[in-house]
Amino acid sequence: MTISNDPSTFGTPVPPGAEAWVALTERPLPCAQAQEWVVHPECGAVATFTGIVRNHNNGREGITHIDYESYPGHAERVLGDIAALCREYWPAVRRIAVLHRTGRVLTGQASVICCVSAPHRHEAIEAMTFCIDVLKASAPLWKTEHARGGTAWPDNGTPIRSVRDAADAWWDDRGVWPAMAADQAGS
Amino acid sequence: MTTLRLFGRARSAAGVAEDVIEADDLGELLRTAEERYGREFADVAECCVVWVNGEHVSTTRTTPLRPGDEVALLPPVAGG
Repeated sequence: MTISNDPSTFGTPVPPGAEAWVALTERPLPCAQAQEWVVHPECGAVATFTGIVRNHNNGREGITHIDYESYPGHAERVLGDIAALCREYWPAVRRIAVLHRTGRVLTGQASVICCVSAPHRHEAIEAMTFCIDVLKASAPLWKTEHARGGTAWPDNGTPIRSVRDAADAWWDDRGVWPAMAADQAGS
Repeated sequence: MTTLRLFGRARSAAGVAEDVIEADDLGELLRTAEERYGREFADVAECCVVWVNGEHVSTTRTTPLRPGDEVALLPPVAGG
């Protein structure tokens, strides 16, 4: 699978032939561009999750912004591994975009976007859900919340897992094997 | 010498994002770091996953280190 993770592609077309677009950036996420990029003639469905910084978390109110921190190099690698594994489980998926912010993100701004295109909606939705769920368990990313009352590390982080372990846990939670899920999606 | 990379709470507790420590194994590196950065850091380190050169390692303190290795302490993650 050809993966583009070159931040210089922001604002310009992703290289022809790329099947996944993964990136971290300190700039506002190109959400519209990502959703347009995954569109493919063979695909009748595009599923998108956009994560937005909200003004509350775990009882903490008045959050004004979040600072995102990554393990440079490795975070991008993990996003690429997630996209590659997603295509293993859902071979009909054509394009995957997984973009995540770093640095300061204001309340109301997008912190992450996952877009997946597939021939049918079930596999597009399931593959997109897989991508964001596994990202949250396996990507070396951290956030500091800033609110009117001060700064805090959120308490709802999760111990980091490998992409494979996070994927296995994802399937375990559903109680199905990947092949069974693929059959269901295709029916 | 081993490069120690710290993130999130671990970085905050230590007051540095990166350090260089001479250690033959993971246990020696963590002991040195805990002595250098103090109790709060030691508490945070207990909750961290350890990567060596980008790969997860079990937290066994006998894991050998070679010159040039990069050890990262990863607190619970919170992407998305």
